[in-house]
Amino acid sequence: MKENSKQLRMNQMEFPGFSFLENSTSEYREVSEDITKRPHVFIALVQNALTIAQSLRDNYFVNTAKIVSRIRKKLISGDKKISELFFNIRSINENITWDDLRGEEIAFIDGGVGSVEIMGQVPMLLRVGTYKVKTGETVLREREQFGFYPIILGDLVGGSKERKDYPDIVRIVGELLAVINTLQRYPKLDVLILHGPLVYLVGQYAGHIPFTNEDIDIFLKNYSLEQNIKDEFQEQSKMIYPQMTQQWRADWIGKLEDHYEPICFMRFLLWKIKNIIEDASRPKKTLICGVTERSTLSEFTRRIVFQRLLQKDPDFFNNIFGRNDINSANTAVERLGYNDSLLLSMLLNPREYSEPFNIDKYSNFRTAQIADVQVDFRDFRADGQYPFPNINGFYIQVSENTFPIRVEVFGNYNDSQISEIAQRVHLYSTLLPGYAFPIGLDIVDKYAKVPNWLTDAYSKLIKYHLQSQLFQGKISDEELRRVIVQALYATQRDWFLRPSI
Amino acid sequence: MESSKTMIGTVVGESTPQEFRMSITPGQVYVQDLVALDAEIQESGKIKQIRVWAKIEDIERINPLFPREAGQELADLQVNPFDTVISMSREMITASCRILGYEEISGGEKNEPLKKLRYPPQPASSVYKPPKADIQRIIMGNLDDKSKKHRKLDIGWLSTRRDVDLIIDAHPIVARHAAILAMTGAGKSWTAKRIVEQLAEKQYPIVIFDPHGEYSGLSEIEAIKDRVHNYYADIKIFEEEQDDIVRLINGLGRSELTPRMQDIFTDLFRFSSIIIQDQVTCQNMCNLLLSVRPDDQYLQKYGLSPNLFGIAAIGQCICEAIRGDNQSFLSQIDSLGYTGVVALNNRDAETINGIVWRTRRAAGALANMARINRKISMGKESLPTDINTLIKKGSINVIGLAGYSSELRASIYSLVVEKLFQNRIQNLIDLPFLLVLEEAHNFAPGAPTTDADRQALQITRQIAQEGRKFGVGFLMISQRPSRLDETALSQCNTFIIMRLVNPADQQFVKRVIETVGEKETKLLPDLDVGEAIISGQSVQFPVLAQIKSPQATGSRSEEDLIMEVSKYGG
Repeated sequence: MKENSKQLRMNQMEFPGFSFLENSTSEYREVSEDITKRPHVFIALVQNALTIAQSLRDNYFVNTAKIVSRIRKKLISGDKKISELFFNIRSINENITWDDLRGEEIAFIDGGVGSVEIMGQVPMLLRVGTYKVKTGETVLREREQFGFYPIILGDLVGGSKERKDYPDIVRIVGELLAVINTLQRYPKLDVLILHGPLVYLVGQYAGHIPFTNEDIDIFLKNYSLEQNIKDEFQEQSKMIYPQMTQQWRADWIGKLEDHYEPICFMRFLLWKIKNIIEDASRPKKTLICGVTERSTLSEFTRRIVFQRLLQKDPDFFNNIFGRNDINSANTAVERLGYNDSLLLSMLLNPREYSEPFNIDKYSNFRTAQIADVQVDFRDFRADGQYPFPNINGFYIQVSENTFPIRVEVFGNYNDSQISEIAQRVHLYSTLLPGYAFPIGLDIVDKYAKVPNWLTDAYSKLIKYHLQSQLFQGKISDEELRRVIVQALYATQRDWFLRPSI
Repeated sequence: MESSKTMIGTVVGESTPQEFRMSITPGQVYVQDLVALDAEIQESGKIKQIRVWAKIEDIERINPLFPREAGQELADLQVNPFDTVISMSREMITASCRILGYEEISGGEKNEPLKKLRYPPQPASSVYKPPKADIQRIIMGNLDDKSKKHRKLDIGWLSTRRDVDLIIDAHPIVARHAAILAMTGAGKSWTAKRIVEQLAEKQYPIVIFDPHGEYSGLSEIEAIKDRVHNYYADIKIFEEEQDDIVRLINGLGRSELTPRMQDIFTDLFRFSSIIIQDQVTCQNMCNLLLSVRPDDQYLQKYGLSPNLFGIAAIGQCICEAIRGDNQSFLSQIDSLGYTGVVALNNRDAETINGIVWRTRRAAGALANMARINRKISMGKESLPTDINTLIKKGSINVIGLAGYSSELRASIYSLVVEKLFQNRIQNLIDLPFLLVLEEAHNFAPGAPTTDADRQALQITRQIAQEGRKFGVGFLMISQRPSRLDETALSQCNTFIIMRLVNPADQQFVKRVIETVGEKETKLLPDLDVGEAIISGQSVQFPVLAQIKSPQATGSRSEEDLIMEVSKYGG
């Protein structure tokens, strides 16, 4: 604690970051200048420097500049062989403009949760918004269509509502259904872009109580989707459920149609999406991707950059940091705090994107408990019996002033398809240079945002109802009364500081 | 009441008895449009169905899904937003409306003025565009009543509804004074002519003071040409007060008469006035002068004129007689009535010489002005001696003041209007009449600097304050409202305000004219030619109008000078 306090009290002269430019040698001076000109990168490095081990903190900036400088040299060495062995940086075609893409139909999908304020934010409403636009079309009703799909969380029975990630699973299901709805409604769609990963790290959602038949009816009705989705899923789950638990039994599982285990259902929806877009009879092969800003992944850094670096030079990091224990990519990432966004922001120039790499989404599938039943989700891993679709990702640097954004696509996309997606995601993002994110996602986010007046109104209604119950003496349980009083009148801070009675 | 209603909006947000906001259907309404909504009020325990009338004061348009940052990028790249993925369909258009009042729907319509609303309209009420006939009815108020039909003046259309004629009440204009305020080229003379022509159809006597020949074209209109009289302004020297003539000479003679000169001039003027106004004595005097100056070709050709030239001629001969010690001549002058002339010495001769030069200069300047005046004003007659003859049923009298200095204009105006007003008060004039004051800042200056200005202002103020009792009204027209007298302007009850870009004029108008608010002031710089905000007692509420074209064109309508030069010489 003392050590940390001392570090925190470092004055400006002592803090290495502020003097590292002056101390830079010509080897990495260019990188140093680059970093200091880009405040978001500089601040991220400062944050890293404060969190890593003290022994690595000294010269952290200098060493980072060295690492980046040496990697850059490997990228532009002029020796094509070397750069091919290292990793590929690709360029967005400068000559493709909006004119060239006129007439394309693009859809943007974004999901979010509206919360009411009762001693903290309590999620209440899921909304998924869709925005479909045809570029070049001037008749507005032909050009744009918006969709708004709300689900009141209280209407659903399934899912473990006591879990913090409950709204997430509802949102993911909602978004996937919105994708299906959009693909079915617009068979000539050229591109569909989802806000967020194409597939989430769904392993963490294991253990939720299944959705019910009625829950799925609510979803399907909202999205105007046919009931045959349920039939198709039930066919699959007949096979999958027994594999997931040895305690499979008719009385627990009950009727299949009453149980929609969330992860199974997400898997089913993802494969359905993939099948729809790959259907030979579909007029257009819609390109689908998910776009994430503020990525915290470090997989590319780990498995592509550092691993390949160390393959060529096992002491690369040790030499720079003057150590002998940074011998693996994992160690380098963990000890040095780099992630994909930070590293690539220093390696990619605007209009460049990284080579695609396979993202490991599924190795965290484990077993989990659902009620009193032990359930095994490991068959959903990439090497399992019922895998999820393979996902690849790549990063695009849109502007100097932002971190690169991560784009996820299905794993079977070829270079040409990836190039098409990169081109478009980049172009859509250039209209928001300060944010560097596809503008269509910003539009759909604003469109589908649950207005504050709605959540405020709901908060008031709920509080009024609780107050009435309280004042009318309808709540006799002492503990419950205490909780309600705190919910109505306390702020979140009060809750934490108040000793429990 | 017609049943067709075009719904164009919904009341949103907070509403008050004075105003409300509404979301509107794109492209259906514009600023200054008149709209209505139906509501209910409780009065004496009964529920009444009412129609609330409002005017759109402002319209805001926003696309909440269009980030500003993207706009800058589109501009930099010169890309059409329709070619991108930007959303163009989610605009929110809201209008802020000022409530004008309400009328009862139940019980059929009555031509009553709108009543003041004391309760706000309900949010989410539907707002509609009323049918043309209803708008017309509301604007006209009770002008369609039998007792008032004859007072209708058709001067234009609603600017945003060309299918709705703007009919205003003539009575407040002629009885309670009106003003047309606009910058150069905005159409104020066009508007004044339209009003004059409309009043002419009603045979209303009009006297127009026309500094620039704008109204000479009235005599070309077939329907009224027999009633139009174009007069040129003529200063009858010997009908004016001597002090006024001294001021005239001081103003036009380039240097003022000294006190000694003024003393001698008093006698000279008195003498000249006696001699010249009688034909016989004038002829005899001319002969006498020729005896002193036989080579004077002007005297030979024109004789002794009843003007400043005449006075100068007499003065010159007296001067030369004194210098030449021509006692015979001087004695004759003395005997004709110039007492004391024989006692004048050489020094006095020089003084008289100074008078002569100044008088000649003034005479020349005045003659030039008169020449220009006659040419521009196309006046065939000079003002009649009996000024009352101007005021007859249906007479339209245009007094051309073009060519004269502003001081002379003011002087001529004062002389004519004082006589007319006094004669009206004394019932020597039977009919009411309207005075049209073009370039009114000449006749009602805000900061008078000369005696002529002060005199003009005095009579204008008097008419402003008392004219109503005697049926004398004025229509002031000016492109510099801030140079107008506030007292006179504030007495006007009808205002027609056209394009004004000068901030001082805008602020002046806003300060002096109660019915012009902040929103109207903001419109002023952007009004089209011929567009006007009409407010006051001639209309139920301020309206934005497009003035209809008059039939008359001015003799000084702008010609294409470039074309003229190009055609010159073939």
